[in-house]
Amino acid sequence: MNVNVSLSNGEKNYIIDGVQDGMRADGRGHFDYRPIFIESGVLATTDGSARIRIGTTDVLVGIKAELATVENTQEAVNRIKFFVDFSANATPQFEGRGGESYALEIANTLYEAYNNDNVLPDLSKLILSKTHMWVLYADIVLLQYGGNIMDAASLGVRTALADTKLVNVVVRPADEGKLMVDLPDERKLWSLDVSKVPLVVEASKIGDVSVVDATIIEENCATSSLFVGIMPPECDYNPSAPSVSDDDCVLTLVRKSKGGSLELESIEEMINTGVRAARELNKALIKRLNEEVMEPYKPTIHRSQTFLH
Amino acid sequence: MINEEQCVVNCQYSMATFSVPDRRNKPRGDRRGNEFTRLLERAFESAILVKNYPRSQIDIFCEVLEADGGNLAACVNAASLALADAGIPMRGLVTAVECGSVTGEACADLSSREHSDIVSRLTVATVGGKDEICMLDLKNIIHKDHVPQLIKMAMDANAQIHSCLESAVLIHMKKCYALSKRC
Repeated sequence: MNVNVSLSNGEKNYIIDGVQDGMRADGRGHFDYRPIFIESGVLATTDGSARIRIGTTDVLVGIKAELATVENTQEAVNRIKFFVDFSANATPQFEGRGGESYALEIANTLYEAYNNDNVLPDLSKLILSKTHMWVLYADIVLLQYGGNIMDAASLGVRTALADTKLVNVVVRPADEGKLMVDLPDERKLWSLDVSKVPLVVEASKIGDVSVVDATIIEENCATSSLFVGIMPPECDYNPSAPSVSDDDCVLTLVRKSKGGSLELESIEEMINTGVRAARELNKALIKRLNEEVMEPYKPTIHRSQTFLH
Repeated sequence: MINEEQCVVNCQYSMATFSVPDRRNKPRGDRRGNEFTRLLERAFESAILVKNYPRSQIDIFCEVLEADGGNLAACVNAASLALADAGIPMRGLVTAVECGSVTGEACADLSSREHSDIVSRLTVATVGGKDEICMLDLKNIIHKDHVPQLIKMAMDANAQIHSCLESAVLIHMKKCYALSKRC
């Protein structure tokens, strides 16, 4: 996505030459991320929420579970519904429907990354009866645009899903042979298993190298970019599992974004970059979340703030 | 006919889809959202010293992240603070509050649980915490005799909100002034 930024040719050359020499404008290397802030449990009106800041990019994610009555839950599509909104607060260009096409790209990409039966094994628990099911909505609002929306959104969705608490319901018979959903006497909450949730990163091609976490200016200098989504291998969150190399990682998404054309070698290099970055990001996230003191669920808002490197 | 010499105040009222307990499908573009957008524009057009900005546009974008009643009023208050932070001169800080009554007994600052079809709600915005009303919006029906009491309640509430916002702006200003003094 290209937010309107005025860059002269001299500036563009400076950025591209710097990146090719391994030094980005803010001193980072190709695989370095800007400081990442993660907060979870920030919205009272949602079942799960998170706020992610990467550099100046600020993303708010809310997960809502709604009870749906369908003809036949076996035939219904059982996937998370993603909705992304680019707020006009990020840049006036997004006023009204200005950001709609960019937002749709993010939403559809996330949908594709999550569109298989392996990433969220608990999806089957969402089916309550032949006609009732929970539908999960992941709503993402972009509050500030600093480049690299995809990584922030994907981190946000993962954190918000981990924060999501769904209430246990019972299915009772109702009139005319139908069924109804009711709350049991003992109220219990359950969480989703998010260990296999995909992390999507954007690898941008600047000059002839690929970088991750492009700033808004670097995005304007990139020829093209690739969204790479991996399903984290078990060894990254379970030390006793057999180790898996980057080459044996399972991808759930590979999608080219922006204009420009890429050669096969570039695509391979960008995929490797993406996989490596996504794995490191996931490992850092898990390590940091494990270091946090796990507090029992409170009815009020529970805030936890984590730094990633 | 648009007068090109004038300053245009452009607002947008948007509510995040997760901001309400029953999920919304679209953040903006609905009738009520557009209504609120126009109300915000008219309110700030009268408060901002637009003569200082000919042939320019001032954008005010409001994004409601969690809605619990008094959304329009909250947007007005937030926009006033944002305009003060931006250094845009106004005739006074614009404050707003949503008041309602059922049987004529006025209540200030309704929450969303107090919203219903039988509760008449009035959102009133004033400039500088004084008696000048720059925005007035009624939802549902109200008996003519109940209106003065409701407006009086709103004015009193606005005066209090104004002193609150004013002290916040002064504290912020002092902090910024202290920073610039050091440089």
